[in-house]
Amino acid sequence: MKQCKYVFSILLLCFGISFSQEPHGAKQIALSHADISASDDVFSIFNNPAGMSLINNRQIGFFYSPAPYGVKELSYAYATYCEPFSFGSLSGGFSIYGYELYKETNFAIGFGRMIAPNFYLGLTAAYRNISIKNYGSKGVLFINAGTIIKLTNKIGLGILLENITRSKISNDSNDIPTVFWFGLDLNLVKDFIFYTAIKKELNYNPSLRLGAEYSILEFLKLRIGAGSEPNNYSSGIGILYQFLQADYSISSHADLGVTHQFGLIIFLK
Amino acid sequence: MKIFLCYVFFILPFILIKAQADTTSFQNKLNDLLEDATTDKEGVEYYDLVEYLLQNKIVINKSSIKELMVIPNVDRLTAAAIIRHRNLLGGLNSEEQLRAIEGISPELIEQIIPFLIFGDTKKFSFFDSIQKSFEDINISIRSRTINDLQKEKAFKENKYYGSDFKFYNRLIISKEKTIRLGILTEKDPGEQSLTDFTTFHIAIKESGMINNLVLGDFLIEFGQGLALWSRYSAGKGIETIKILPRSSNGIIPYLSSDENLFLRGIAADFNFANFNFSAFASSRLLDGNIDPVTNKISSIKLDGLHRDSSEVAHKRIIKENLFGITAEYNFGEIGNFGLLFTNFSYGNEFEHQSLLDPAGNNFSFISTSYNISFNKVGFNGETSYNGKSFATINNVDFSIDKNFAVLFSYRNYATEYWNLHSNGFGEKDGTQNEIGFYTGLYLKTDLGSLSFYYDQFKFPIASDKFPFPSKGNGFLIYYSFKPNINLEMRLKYINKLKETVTTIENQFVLTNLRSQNIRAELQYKLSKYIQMKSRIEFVNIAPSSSQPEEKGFLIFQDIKYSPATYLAFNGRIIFFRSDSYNSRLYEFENDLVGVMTNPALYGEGIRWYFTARYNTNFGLTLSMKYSELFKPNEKFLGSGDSMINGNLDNRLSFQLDFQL
Repeated sequence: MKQCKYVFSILLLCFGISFSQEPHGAKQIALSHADISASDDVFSIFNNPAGMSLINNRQIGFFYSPAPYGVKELSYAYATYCEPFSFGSLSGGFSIYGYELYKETNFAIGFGRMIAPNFYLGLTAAYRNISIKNYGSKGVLFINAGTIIKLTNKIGLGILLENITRSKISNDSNDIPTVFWFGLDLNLVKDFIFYTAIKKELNYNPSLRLGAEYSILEFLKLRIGAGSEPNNYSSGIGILYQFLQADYSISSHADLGVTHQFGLIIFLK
Repeated sequence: MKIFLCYVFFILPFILIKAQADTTSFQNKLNDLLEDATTDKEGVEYYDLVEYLLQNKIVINKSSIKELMVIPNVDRLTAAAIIRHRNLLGGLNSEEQLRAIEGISPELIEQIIPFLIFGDTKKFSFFDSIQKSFEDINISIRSRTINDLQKEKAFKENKYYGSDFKFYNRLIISKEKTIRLGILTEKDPGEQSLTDFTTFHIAIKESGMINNLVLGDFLIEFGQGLALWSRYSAGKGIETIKILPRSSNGIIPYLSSDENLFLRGIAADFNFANFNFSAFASSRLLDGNIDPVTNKISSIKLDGLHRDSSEVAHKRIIKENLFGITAEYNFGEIGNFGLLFTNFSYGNEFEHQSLLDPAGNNFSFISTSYNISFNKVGFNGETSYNGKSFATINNVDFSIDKNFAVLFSYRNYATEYWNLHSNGFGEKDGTQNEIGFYTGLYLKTDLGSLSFYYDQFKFPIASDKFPFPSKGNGFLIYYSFKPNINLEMRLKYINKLKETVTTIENQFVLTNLRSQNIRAELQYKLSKYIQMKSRIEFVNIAPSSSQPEEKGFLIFQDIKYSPATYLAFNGRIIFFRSDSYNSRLYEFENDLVGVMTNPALYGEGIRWYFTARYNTNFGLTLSMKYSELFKPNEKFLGSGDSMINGNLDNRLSFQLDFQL
């Protein structure tokens, strides 16, 4: 068992950083993260901070992935809170990832504001601490910046720049990736939204993301998505009941298999 | 001299105060024109030319068809439509009257308005102007410094004489449209003197019989550019129809920072009835290499760099004398016919090492140009003869209406046709060794506008080492759509197939090289103050030989923010990735006014820049740019003397503009 843990530790070091950098939330995963232009819930602080400015009531969000790909050592959890003000929306968030040998924690605060009608900007400042058993721990501050633009009433555009400060934990590596996200959403048919995005991370090929969401009932949404680099596909549902939104997603990674995620958003007055 | 320049460039600005003309609109237009450039050379000359046209606006009520045709994108049919409308109304006194012309697209009207003066203006003779003291004198000053913040290897080793700063200073003094004095000095990084390059002119317009008189440095444009032309001209790109025929500007006072290929001496032209005559003479020294054994010119050096003893040894050692005359007859709206004779002679003979090299030291050219329009069809072209061989280009354009136009062009430039001052349309530079046929099309519908070109070309000699023909072709499809006034979507696809010489098992062979480029772009105006642009671009290079296929990718986001008329900011961030330099991508950047930057991006990295401009209310404009290139996987950037230690290359530029 101990050997297994070391294997997982190596896996975490190799793959884990990119896992933890992907925008999270059950809705986002169900859409294969193609919804960068339509981030409008409390998880925006980790996805596209411009989405915070689209929130008009207090929200608390929880997200938990207990054992990605059957490996509980890869588990991660998020908790976020957003408070809208007249001058913009403020958010705070916390995430934890890994286990006793390798642990990554993030503390984030974010601010989003409408700059002009149909033009929203947001910033997230996050402090990441990585702790590796027997090696110690180290933390660094980095900043994400995003924008959402409603080009027309049927077309939205989103841009996210992750780690624009090009912060890094170790001297030589690109361990906190600098990433450019560009996405569009098309709302051409009633109750149906098509999402597409391109992710360009330094040192990796561009990755194409596609997703769709269909509001089959007023309170029930079906989601599906696919992406490249690496190849993956996903689906999920969202249920809105009074002040609660529960989301579930299932995703398949070309090499790692299938996994499940759960999210919960509480809307406060 | 240095004290005078110091006064002119650093003290005068604080004494003379007046608002500066806004050049933003024409800069945006230039950016569109130069977006397709596939070279990292700076297109400064074209920028300076357009700026010159903006500073010397055309009085629309006194202009001829030929004068209107010097405005970018104005062809003979458009110019004739403007003249007809003017004659019908008895004069054009407002922009609204121009906008009412049928047959010219609203976009084109808006493009040409900045180049025009409406209503009547009082005409002064040259001597009247002198007598009217110094009223209405315009003084324009531009001073710029550019500094690469990372030291290149040659500077670390103190290999160059001068500092790593680049300095540029320019002064223009003009009065009405009658007289203009211009002087420019430039120091490249590594050069010692602030006046390493100096160019100047005095230009007089409309004085007695003389239309234009230039003393000092100038350029001559004639016909379609086969015998004499300026350095820059728009190449193949999204303007598939408007690139031909070219409209020559005739005599152009030169005030640009390219250190070669201008003329220095005297040039004048005058009108007599429907004739226009011009004469010019030039004598100057060029940079180059002279073989010490044969005493022949082995090459002409065009980079203008004089940074170390080796480069200084080649500075201005080749004498060039040039003279010529032109005559042109105008048939009014129908067209014109022109003749040119020019002779170049050099102090030494050229080494004739290959069929493409010049031989001897004396070159004469006789050229004819024509431009004839019948209803909606235009025929135009130029044929030039150098005593041994011909270069010719002939175009026919069908401007059916403002929504549909077709252009056909045939060119044949002989292998022996060598001309240092030509700049004909073609696949490659040089107006030599090329046969081609170009077809362009433009169609505008309610669903957007579509541009297309197909160009096929053949080079009778593939290269200096390979005396067999090579060929190729390329096409472009460009679609743009504006669903509303604030949003424009653009799609561009270019496919080019070209035979290139490669070495396989120590044998030279011709292999096909296909390059494809796809670009998608969104431009959107979010408010009165904010404009954004997003772009995604892919390039694919596929050789037919055993060499591997290569790919490149680029994505960028650009934002312009102008919270007030006197303040403007622009920022852009670019992520790029390409397999090598062969699959590089270009992105044309906004820069300081008068600077054009089109860097080649290859490998893996990020580039970003930020510009700011502040117009004071007393005529002074301050602008700056900071740019940064970051390649995380590199330990060095560049090579040779320009190599930088580390993976970061950043540059800081400042500019001061002042207009009285």
